[in-house]
Amino acid sequence: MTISEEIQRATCAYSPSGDHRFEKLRGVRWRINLGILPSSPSSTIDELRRVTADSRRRYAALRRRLLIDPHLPKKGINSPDLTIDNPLSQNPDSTWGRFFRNAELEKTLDQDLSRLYPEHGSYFQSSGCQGMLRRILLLWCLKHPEIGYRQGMHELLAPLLYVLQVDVQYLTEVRSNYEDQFTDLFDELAFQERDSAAYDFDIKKVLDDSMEEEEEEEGNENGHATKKKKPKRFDELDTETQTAVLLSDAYGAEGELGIVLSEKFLEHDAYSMFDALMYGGSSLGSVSVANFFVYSAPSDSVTGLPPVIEASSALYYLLSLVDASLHSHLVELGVEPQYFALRWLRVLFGREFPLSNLLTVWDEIFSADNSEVERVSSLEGDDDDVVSGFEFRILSSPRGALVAGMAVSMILYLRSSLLATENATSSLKRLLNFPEDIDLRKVIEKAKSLQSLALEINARRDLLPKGSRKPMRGHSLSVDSISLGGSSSSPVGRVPESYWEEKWRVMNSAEEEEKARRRKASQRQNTVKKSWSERVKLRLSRTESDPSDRSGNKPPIRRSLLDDLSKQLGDTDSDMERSSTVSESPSGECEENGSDKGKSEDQVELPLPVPENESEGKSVVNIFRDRNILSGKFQRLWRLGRGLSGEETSETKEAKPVEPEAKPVEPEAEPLEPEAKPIDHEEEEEKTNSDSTVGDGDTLKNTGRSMLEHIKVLESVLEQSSPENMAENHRVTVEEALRELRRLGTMLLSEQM
Amino acid sequence: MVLVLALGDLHVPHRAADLPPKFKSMLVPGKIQHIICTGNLCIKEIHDYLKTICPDLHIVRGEFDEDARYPDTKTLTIGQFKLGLCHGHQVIPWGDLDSLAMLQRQLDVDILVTGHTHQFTAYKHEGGVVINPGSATGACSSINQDVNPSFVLMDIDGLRVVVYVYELIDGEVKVDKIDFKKASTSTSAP
Repeated sequence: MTISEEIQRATCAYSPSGDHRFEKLRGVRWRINLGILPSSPSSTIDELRRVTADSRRRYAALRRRLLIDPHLPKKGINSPDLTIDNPLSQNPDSTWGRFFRNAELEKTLDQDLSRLYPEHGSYFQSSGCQGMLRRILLLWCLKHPEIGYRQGMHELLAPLLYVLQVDVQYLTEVRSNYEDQFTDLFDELAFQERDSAAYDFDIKKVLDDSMEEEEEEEGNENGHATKKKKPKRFDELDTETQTAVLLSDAYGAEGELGIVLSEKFLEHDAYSMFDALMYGGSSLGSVSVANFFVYSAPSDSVTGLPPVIEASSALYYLLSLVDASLHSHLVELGVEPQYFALRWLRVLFGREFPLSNLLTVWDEIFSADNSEVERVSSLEGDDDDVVSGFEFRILSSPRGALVAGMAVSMILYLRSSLLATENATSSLKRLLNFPEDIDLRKVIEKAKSLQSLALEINARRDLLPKGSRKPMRGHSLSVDSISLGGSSSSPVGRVPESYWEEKWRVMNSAEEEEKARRRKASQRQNTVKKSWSERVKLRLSRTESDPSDRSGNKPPIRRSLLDDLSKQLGDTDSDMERSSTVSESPSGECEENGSDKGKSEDQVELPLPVPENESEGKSVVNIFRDRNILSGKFQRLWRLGRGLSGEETSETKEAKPVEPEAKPVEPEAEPLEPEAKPIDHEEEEEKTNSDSTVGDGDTLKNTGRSMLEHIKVLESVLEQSSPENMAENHRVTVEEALRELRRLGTMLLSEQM
Repeated sequence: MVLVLALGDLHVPHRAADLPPKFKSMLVPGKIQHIICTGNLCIKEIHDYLKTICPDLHIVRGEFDEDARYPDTKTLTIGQFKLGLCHGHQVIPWGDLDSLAMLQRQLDVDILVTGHTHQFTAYKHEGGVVINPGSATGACSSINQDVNPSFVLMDIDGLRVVVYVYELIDGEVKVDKIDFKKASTSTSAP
């Protein structure tokens, strides 16, 4: 689009509610909006000129300071110290060092600049424009070494320079129409010959001269579009042209430096606009595009994320509020917002729209105010760890909210095609190739409506995503989205866990529910535990997809567990030994269990409360919990038990082949069944008793007692479970084991007594 | 702004082991656009090392060089200046200004760079410059046993050349600077 067409567009552009003087001058409007020029409508042209002149002076000083020619000797130093100032010097302070660093930076810049806007190459690739862009970027990066140059900054700068150029062209047009207004009459006199003395000049004559020339020209060219009228007086001109004249009066405030639309100072003005855009405003809360180029999170951020990621998540959050299905679809596909939002935000949609549309979009964005919005104080009582910052920094100002709204409305515009995509790549492709012929008006209208919603998000804390208040859960936002995505899609992939953990988890899912209930009652558990249980819970939720028949699973699992335990203990001598060890291990564990009871409070908590059907699960649970902690203790007890069993091996030989004993076990077990529940209660009491008596040091007695109880429990459960789950011989083995346990227990008790 | 490094008479490995480490730390790739070498490297390894500093390398043959393919003299144009290169053992008496001036007129160059004496000199002579960068390793010569390592860096900028001389005296690098301005020429550089 040529520049003259651009001028036409600028005139029909939406002008802000403020100044109507500058309707045709987009550059001036933007400068006002960005805060470079005074924004109140009452500011006079003179003030504008003064401010412009000041900013230009600053830029020129900066330029002189930072762009170095190492040949020129430094001021004030007659003989520079050559050991420092030679070209090969390694000293970073030397002028040559700085020169080389600048050269490096320029090379990087050139790489980007050469690829800038090739479709408008006639302007942007011209050497003058490129030189200006290069210098501006170089100086800005030198002035802000903490950010340096990042790809994309040149795309932000180019439209700024462009609009300034457009303004200047507009000015030349106006100038060509109203030539006489621009030139001071008396300037020309210096070169005109006068017959009479200098004092005796004749204004009228000058005017007539110039008029004659004009009329001649006009007469010659018939097809001339603009008719040159009689020279008007200044007051008769329309406001815009008046403004243009005043702004470019060489004799106005600050002289030539103050000519607001000046080709000579394009670079200076573009620099100040760029600077203002990058560092959005003086107040902390406002949106500054420079932040989007920063990789680390600023210190006062709530979420602890780099600003770009935070802003992208803000976009997604806004989208989820507006269109949940599209949001969930995108999340499901795994399209992280920053994949496309990075480019959108860093270049302020510069790559998504053609230049003319982009200027309209930026009109809107810049006309939104960039100051921090006052937060409505929350009605509910704040938590202890109240955070003072914003959840989403980008939404803290109307301009930022409009940017977010714009992004979301663009996503919504592509809604139908996005919902049709099947994988992340194609949707990203869609998002990153925004269509060219769009109804820009509609998109902007939508963006504005979303802006007000976005502003509310930061104002009202109850709209904030859950779990985001506690600052320690810094990444909860991303975790939430992950879990959102995780729950709806197929399980991501089982985390390889150890065998024991799996078993424990399967049997302990009820335990977890209990824990969760209790957690709500007692908030203050230490974070380590909390996070661990969270992790477990996450894992649980992930693998919950296959509902398992708990009761059916348990006995075979338990049996295999016992077997494995024995294997673990490394005792594989003989079958006799095996059975004895099998009897050993649970006894050992139970002993551990009992003695352990008083030691750790956490575990006391857990078995204490509401007895459930899976009480057997508890006992086995305890087995595992204690296993880890007190293996040493177990060893001691085990050895004791082995000593005992040494006497018993003869008895086991006898006991083993006796099958008919199985039957009397059964009816024995049955009356046990109804006692199962009361036993549980007993068990509890016993346990509490054992707790109280632990302090006596009479551990063995207690262990024996508790062993007996456990055995009773085991037996009852064994009978409860459906017999067909177990093979006959296995059953026998278990029963034998139980018998052994019983015998041991009674022996222990009798010993102590 | 073109940086041209001029050095020579290294005599590695016969008379010296290597460049002094302080010199090596200064010769960083990327800063220098051309290297002109007066000869007597003597081995290929030094040639390769110089290539790493700058790919545009011009060498002439010294009497101890093991590569016989280097030319005896060379001329090149950098910016507005014509440079001539020769080892100097061919010019007798060695290091004599008038004889060197004869060579300069013969080659028709503005800047003549020669070596062989292992002694840094720089003369302005008849509208041109005659430079001897000395020995970069401080190798002894047949006429002089006590030699300071030295080399020359020329900064050619339009019609002006600034000659920086780097010498290693008593373990310290000393830098000196000489300015030459050329009278504007009628012929323009290609």
